[in-house]
Amino acid sequence: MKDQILKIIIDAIDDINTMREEKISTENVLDLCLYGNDGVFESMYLVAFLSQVEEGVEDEFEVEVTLASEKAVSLRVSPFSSVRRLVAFIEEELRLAGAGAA
Amino acid sequence: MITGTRTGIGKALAEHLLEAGHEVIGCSRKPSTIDHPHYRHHEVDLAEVSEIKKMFREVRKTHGRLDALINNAGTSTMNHFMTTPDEVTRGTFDVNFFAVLNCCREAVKLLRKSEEPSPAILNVSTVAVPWALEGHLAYSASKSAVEQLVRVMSKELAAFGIRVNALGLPPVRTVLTRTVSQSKIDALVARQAIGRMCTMSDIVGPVDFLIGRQSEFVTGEIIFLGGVR
Repeated sequence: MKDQILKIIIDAIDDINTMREEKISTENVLDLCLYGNDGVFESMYLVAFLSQVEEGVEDEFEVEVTLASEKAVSLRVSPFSSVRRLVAFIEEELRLAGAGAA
Repeated sequence: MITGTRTGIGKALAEHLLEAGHEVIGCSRKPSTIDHPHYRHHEVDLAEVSEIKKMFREVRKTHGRLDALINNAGTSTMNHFMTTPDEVTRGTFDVNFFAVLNCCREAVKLLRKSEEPSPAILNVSTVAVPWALEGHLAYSASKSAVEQLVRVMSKELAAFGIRVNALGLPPVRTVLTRTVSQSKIDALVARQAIGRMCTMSDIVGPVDFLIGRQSEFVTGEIIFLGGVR
């Protein structure tokens, strides 16, 4: 499941890169900070990125998850502080939604 | 996509765009009144965000993208503010403002996938805003909110190449104005620079322009018809 989620995230970053002059590197993608002081996304691009990931998750797992949610932004450790944390957050959301673990 | 396509302006716009060769997706609370091979209808209560999300999910699966969204659906109430119940005002905002906001939120994901150079969102406003018509507080306040949405959203979506505009309409004979007396309509029409009733043929040209490539450099604008300000 982790690998599937990671692929969805990398695909979404690639998609956002098509709109940006300054491309985001996916070399050390798990440690990539998405949003905040060291984040690679400004708020609008973060929203576009998250909606892309939501669509990917829905297509892959047939489960609807909302990532730009109050729950996500109010967590003590932000799921947007790194791709690793976002993967874990999505895994947990899928588990709560009853999606089968691979 | 056009919201509120069962009757009035929404239906006429859908038929106009179908005739021009577009694929049109429409919605209303009740079944479709349009029968066309390139028309797809969704029965949706726009006051319910879950129903809006479901509709857009289906559009994504069937079409994969949108080139334009016309937020036409609206509701109107006429009453002195002192005698307008809160739930009526909230219900007006649910349809006229929150449904527009939620449709925009969902549509942006699909507009980003458009192959058009400048996909567009078009909203509808009314003379009741600049003229501050008495008896229309809930309606005109909700449409004022839509005008502000246009201005802010146009800036927030410019980076994605998505334009946001509104068409400001003077009185048009539809179900929304059926309860307004003829004398009141006449008085409103007389205030316009062009002193005649607005018809559908007055609306389709500006709509074609605002959702089409010719207005690629136009965003954040509220364009009023008939010369009302």
